[in-house]
Amino acid sequence: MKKFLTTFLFTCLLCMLSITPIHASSNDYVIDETGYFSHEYITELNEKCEHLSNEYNCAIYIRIVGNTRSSTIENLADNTYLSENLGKTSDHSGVMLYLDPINRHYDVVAHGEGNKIFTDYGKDEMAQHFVIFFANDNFEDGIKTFINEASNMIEDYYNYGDIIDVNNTQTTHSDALYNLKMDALGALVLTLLVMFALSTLMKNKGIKLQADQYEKGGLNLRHTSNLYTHTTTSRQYAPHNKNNGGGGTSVGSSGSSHSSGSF
Amino acid sequence: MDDHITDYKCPQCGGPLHFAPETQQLECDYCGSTFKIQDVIDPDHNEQVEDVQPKEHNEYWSTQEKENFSTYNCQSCGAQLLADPHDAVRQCPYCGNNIILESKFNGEYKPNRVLPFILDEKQAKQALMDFYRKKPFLPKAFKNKNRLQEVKGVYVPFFLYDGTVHGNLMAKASNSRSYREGDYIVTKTDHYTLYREGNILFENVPCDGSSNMPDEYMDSVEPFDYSKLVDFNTQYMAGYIADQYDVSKEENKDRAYTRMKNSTRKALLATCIGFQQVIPLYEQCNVMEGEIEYVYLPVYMLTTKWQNETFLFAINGTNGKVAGELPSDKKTVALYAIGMFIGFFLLISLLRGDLQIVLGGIF
Repeated sequence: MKKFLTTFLFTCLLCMLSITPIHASSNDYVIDETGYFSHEYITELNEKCEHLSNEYNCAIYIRIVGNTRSSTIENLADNTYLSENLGKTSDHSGVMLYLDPINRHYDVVAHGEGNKIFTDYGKDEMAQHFVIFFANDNFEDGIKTFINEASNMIEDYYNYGDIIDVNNTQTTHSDALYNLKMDALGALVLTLLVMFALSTLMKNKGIKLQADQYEKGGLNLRHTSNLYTHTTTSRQYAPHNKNNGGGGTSVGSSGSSHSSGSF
Repeated sequence: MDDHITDYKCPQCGGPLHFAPETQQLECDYCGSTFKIQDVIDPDHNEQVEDVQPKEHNEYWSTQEKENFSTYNCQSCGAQLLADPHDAVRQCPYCGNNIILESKFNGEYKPNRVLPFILDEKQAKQALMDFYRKKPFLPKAFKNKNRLQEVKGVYVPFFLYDGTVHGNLMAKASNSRSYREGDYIVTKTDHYTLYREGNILFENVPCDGSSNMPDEYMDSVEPFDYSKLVDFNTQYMAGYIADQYDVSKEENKDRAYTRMKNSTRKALLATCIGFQQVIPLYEQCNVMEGEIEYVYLPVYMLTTKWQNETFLFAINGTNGKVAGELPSDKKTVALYAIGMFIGFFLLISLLRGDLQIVLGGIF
């Protein structure tokens, strides 16, 4: 009887373990609860996030869920971040993409030092880059874009003190590198234009297509009319800029800041 | 004396005479004596010509005139050049070829009028040197070793076309204005239909009658001062080469009339003012053909070779306007391009502040 009871309890324990979701830890940088992505892809992302997170004191997380109908996505993201005890250092610094590909919602939540790095404006700017992929059901590239953007912003913050904010949009190091390429392109175009102008100096010949200088007395205009026919009207939607110009990050009572949306 | 003149020999010393642009007189190559052209024209000769063609006495070469010229044929480009037998043509002014064969001149038509050279060779060379200036890519060696002594005065056959172009033009035009209505920008556009009709008289639109002379060169040395055109006289050709036309006035007229039509279109379109956008819908130009005159116009030619490539230059013999294409030194071009790129890049990136940010991050 004792043996049977021991076996029964052990079996029950095994069953309980098998049906209870594995409790995520802060070492799980990427978790896909929906099974939408392959195991290999998740493993690859996880390694990438872990590598990036270990470089600086701000971690990058991704949670792919399908439950956002039950509550607001901000609350769900907050609960996940806090319950899983995510983040680095004592202030739980980090940023997380909380994505529901089924209900087509997302939330970017920042915490601790992450609130400084990921301002409201910065989160919105970052979202513009990856949401376009989500809108086209290209979740893999969208997630990769999120990771790249987030790692760039963290790197700029820790290496150069750069933050993307309302009045500080052109000053980040990665932006400057990109702008340098654009400057080089502009310089190339200008060089080509000037070189073309200089090369035309070397040539002073060409077919004349007009005979203006041989006109005797100019144009004798015999008939002229300007007939009004109709008026057309077009309307283009151009909402006023609702940005009040305020920068920084709005941090809630949970200690997190959010930027969420649908696609 | 008259015999000497028709042979272009100096009555004083028997030396060859040439036309001197600076004095507009005939000048002896040896003793330097000068003679007014009017003073040396043979009156009997003129009368004889008038007897042959009383109305168009200038149209045909007289037998006597023909004897004063030899034809020189370029074996390379096929140019047929006319010159005094004393001024043997040794090099083709069009292609620079040295194989020139002399033959008896048996041409038919002669020009009505001629525009005598106003610039002399020295001034023509100076005009060419001025053209060389401020050309950053021009190889120095080209300028230094250039064979400026080969500049040769050529009377180029031209046809001058008169005509009146009647044109009409229909176009659609519009004016737009925009304003904001809430979250919308509203654009209102007023549309019009325009109609213009008019005519322009053109006089003396030139087209060269030589297939050896590239049209782009002759177009580029325009304009010639037609007010200095004089009745054709062989004395003006002394010391110069003349080309014979091999493209007839009929073959050339399309080019001349197309130029007239284009100018008329442009003039009609220029009257469509007061609109933000004008798009031509329909246009028609008809030419009422006028007189066509065959004339000789003065052009200095230079053909020179540089790195196995032939460069041709044409200089207007009345105002020194130069047409041609100069060679470029590849090394200089590359240095300019690299230097300019670096300069522009530094300027743009410093002005935009991108370089400071990147360098600030590195150091």
